[in-house]
Amino acid sequence: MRIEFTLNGSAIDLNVPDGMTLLNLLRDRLAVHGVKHGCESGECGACTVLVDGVPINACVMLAPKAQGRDLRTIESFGEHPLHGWRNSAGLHPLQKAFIETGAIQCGYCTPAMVLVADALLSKNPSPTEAEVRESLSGVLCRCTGYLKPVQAILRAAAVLRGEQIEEVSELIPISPELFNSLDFSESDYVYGEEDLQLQTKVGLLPQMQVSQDWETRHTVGRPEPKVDAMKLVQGKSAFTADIEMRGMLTAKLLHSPVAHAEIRSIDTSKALELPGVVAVLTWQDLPRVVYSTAGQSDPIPGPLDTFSLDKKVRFVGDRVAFVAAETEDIANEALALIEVDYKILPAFFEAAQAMEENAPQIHDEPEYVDFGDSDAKRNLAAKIRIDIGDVERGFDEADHIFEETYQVPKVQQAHIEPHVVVTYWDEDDRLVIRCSTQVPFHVRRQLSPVLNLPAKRIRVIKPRIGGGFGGKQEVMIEDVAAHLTIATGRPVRFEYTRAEEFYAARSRHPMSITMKTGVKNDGTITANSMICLSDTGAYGCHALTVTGNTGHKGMALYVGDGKYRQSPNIRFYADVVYSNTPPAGAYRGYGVPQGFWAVDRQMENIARALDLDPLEFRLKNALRAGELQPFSTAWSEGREPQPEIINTCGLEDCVRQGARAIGWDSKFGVSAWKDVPGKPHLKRGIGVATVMQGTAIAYLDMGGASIKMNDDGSFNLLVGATDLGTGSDTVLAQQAAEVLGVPIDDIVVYSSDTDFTPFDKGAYASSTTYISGAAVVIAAEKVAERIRIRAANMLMKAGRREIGPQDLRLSDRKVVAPDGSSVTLEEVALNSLHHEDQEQIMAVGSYVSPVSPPPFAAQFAQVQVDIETGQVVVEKLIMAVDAGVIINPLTASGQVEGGMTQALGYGVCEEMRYDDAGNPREVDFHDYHIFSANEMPELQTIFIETVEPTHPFGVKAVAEIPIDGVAPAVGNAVLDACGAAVNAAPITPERVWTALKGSS
Amino acid sequence: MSPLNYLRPKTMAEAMEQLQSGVALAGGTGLTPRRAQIETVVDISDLGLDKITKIQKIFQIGAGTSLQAILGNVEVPAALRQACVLEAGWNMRNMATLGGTIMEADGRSAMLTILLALDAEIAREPEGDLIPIERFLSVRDKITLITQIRFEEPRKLLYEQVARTPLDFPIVCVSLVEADESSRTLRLAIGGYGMRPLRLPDLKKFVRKGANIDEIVHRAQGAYENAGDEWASAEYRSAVAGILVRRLLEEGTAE
Repeated sequence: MRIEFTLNGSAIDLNVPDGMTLLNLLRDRLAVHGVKHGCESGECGACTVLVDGVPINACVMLAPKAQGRDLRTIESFGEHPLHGWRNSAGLHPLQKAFIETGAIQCGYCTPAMVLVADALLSKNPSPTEAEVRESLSGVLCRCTGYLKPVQAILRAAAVLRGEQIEEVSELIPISPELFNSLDFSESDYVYGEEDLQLQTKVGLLPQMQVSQDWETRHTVGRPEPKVDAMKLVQGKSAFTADIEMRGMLTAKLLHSPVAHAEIRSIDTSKALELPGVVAVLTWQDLPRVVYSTAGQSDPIPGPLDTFSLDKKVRFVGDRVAFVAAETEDIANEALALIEVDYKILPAFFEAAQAMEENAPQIHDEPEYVDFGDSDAKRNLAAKIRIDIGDVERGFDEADHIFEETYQVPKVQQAHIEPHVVVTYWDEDDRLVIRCSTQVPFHVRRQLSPVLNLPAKRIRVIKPRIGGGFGGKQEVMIEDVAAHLTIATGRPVRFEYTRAEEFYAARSRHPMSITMKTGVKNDGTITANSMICLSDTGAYGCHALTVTGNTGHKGMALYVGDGKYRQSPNIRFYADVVYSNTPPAGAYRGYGVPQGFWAVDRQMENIARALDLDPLEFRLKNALRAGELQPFSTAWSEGREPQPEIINTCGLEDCVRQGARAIGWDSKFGVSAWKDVPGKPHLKRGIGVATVMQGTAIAYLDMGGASIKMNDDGSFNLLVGATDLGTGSDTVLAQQAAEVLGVPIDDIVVYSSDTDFTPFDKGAYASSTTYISGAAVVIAAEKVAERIRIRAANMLMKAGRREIGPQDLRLSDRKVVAPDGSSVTLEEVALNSLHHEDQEQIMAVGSYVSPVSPPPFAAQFAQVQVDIETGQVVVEKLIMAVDAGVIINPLTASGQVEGGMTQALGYGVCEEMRYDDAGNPREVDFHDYHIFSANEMPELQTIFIETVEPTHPFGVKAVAEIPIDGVAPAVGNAVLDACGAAVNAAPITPERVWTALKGSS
Repeated sequence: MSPLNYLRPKTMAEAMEQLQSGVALAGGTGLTPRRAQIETVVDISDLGLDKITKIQKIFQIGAGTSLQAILGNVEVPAALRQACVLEAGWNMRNMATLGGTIMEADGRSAMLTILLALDAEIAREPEGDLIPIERFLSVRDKITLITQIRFEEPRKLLYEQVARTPLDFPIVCVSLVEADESSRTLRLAIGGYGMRPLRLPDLKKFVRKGANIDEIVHRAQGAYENAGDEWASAEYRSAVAGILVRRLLEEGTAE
């Protein structure tokens, strides 16, 4: 039908199909890419549009309903302040505030947040924090934890009211003394009205106990705005799907409706006859190449058990056929026309059934390639047996033995941008794969045999990523579009729906973990054992390495005290088994959250049983600086294990500062505090969990960077590292800027493209700041050295006395001699490129680490429990983290806040379950509940800086550790509140109620 | 799959004719995702069904009234307004209508549970009559168009739920209405399970402080004694229904 409306001030008059959504109209017909696709049922809000000033979700609005309305999208807001000779008003105050406060991570939901904020402030210029949170209630964010977006909106409101606002950089604490003098118990309201219901600290930076050389740095350690924030806050066409190509087809995937079956036959004739269908592919059309979808370095440390299309399906949602059609509707219609004859096979959905005698064999294909101890006949994807020390002797030496079994659920990464890929042949007949991936170089390497195309004939481009959290450390859908481009010769776009994300993507491995711990009367741990049964689902991607980390990190933290410190007794056995459920895979934390759910709940139980102070008990037995990482000699994700000494450990300070921040001494064990006045059915509780993670994979994973100097003294930094919203491009630029003596604005960062950027393993294993950062520093130092050599010559020619490069330092865009004389970087650049002895000043750096220095953290939680119904409300989460030197306190605290929020879902509400036929319970955000802005607890981040000597600036990782401790801390707080020992996560009301019934 | 037809009548008569072969579309939040299974939608946005009025203690809320408009109307009982927050975030509340919500919602709906406790009446077309919401829920799939939701302003309206998070859908929820000053009738509805919430039957008589509460709690527990599903066991739901009912009764009967 014909409709007329106004879009960002311009009149639009066009014909649309009656059934077209406003989202499809805006994105596909009008190229308004600031409106994003995150779901099809309105729950995520990424597609927010202002209609007559009111925010709505375009995915659930039919385009004809726009008739006569005034539509506004992010494209109507501000723009970059530099537009050449044309004057620009610059960004809108809301956009500025989102950048300044670090409210943008992946940026996929940022346009939506800015729009709802604008709608709020246009009617209510002085909102309370609760009103701001309510305005954000329709926009789900998986990255930020909402704290910084709330701060951004309050800050913008103040600006729009004409108030003076402090610069973000002025708020940073500068010394441990200042940190120590801070009182964390009171909120400090600066913007808006005081709101007693919710407490957000509006100080924009985290509390920091900074390292001593903090003041000597000019960029590292500063809250620099994200280098990609400007485009993200404008909703620019920066993501994979934001590309228009003539003749582009839409791909769809036929998923299996049954959990386990052989495909007797597939008839695609009716689908192919449908006008608009260009290709239908089944297993009979494709080369039969077995591979692994796990995006990991070569060789893949896991079984090869996957085909692009197979003659067997192994879970509800498994692949059956690919379709490419002129439109999405036609492609969907074609799926319904494919006739498949399934021979149903017995199936099972519980890991415990996998190795039973008569269990059906899920992988009986002859092409299956084992890795390590995998055994497809027994449905065993991986097996680990590690004994450190003499565990049985340790148990014999104990005064007490504690044994308990704990469970953790399968959960979804739930990045708001779904998996998406666009493929096309370029003018050189090379296959271009533009995809939302954490591992572009692995995509190229691993797909090469699958597509029967040499790697050199494949180019992988990674644009901005709308969140990944490990879900995109998988070569998962790129092959679908690639096969269809090969089949049709045409560009193909393939994007998962939200439902597909739930039934046909990856997830966190569910596990059942039995702990057995020997302890002496004084609290010394003499031996600790973990027996783990992990469910990898229908395919073994990441099976070995995820579960390996469950023990490698979780079981490494508590070595025991006294003689056990030198010779700990630790056992970690794991079986990773197949089942007829969607495959598990990589998810932020990579096995470690599972481990710490069991380990830390066990520690809490022991402390309580022996009446030990839970903080002192943990610290008494915890790993310390100077000690051996006990697993380093037993198991490695990379090559052969090699001993690693812990250089830095700020755990004790994390515990001390975190405890002070949450008021531990006035709450723990204080019965008066636990009571809620007038509500005898409510009890408060407080809990802690101490955790550690790793930083990169030692001896294996490599990062690379190149830096090129430009005529004006600026630099191009090209990295293969993949910023999936974390801010890694920014912290890499900061490290380059620090070495080169320039502001971060002078570093033009590009990531990543397999044709242009150096190799990098990709974004996983908490490695980018550390590994890729070290590579950047190496490249920058090489460039700096060339600059100093040339500058020394220039200074001497200018009449200065003899001077050597070693005498010069780079600072403030200049090369400065000890006597204060200097040449500018621009002068050096012009000299090198145009004037004499011309050369391109450029260098490449690469780095592989021999160690994986662990970050440490203390996670605190405060809860309120309804002891009659079991309902738990988490009131406060505080995490004190030793992540080494913090390169950027804004992005780093954003990692912690977002990680805690994801982990909160793991703790209390997120869980993927299946019925007796393997059908999923959760296929949307209606049933799979992730926290929204208006139900969040108070969040607080504290950084305890240590200086890790193996990195040029002393950094360790911060990305994954925030997800490790929340669930056990909440579990421990529930135990503290009411005595309910809930051993299975998530801690649902019924589980608490059941535990209370059992304890009574 | 035939393409969807979108119709937008200007009058009720026109709408009634079009609805003979189409499905009523209000906010579209429920229907739009299912559009592939629908041939014709009839957009009722221009029929003026978005008014909230209160005449002599009778609320009349147009079926096309958005949840956000209900939330923003301070005359509407607080628990009903809060139910709008529990149903959806801001964006969806701007789109979703009351009529659409009661057509689409299942037992895990705060709104439906409260409306059931309120003994709301549903005005429907083409019949042109009013039917109690309890009956409406049993014939919901045969309704052509609802135009208005009516209920008497209660003396007290209470709601409580148990969920995994503060704003998750309820596992168990209870709403209690004390009707008016003169009759002092109490009505209870229980939700969180199944296709629709339940009204506790035969709860007409006046309940003094504490009196009869045990009996009513027992009845509530009985109502959910088989209410087990993938979200919670029947044992849990039954027990918690009793707990919540007791709480609301004690609060509701407190002077």
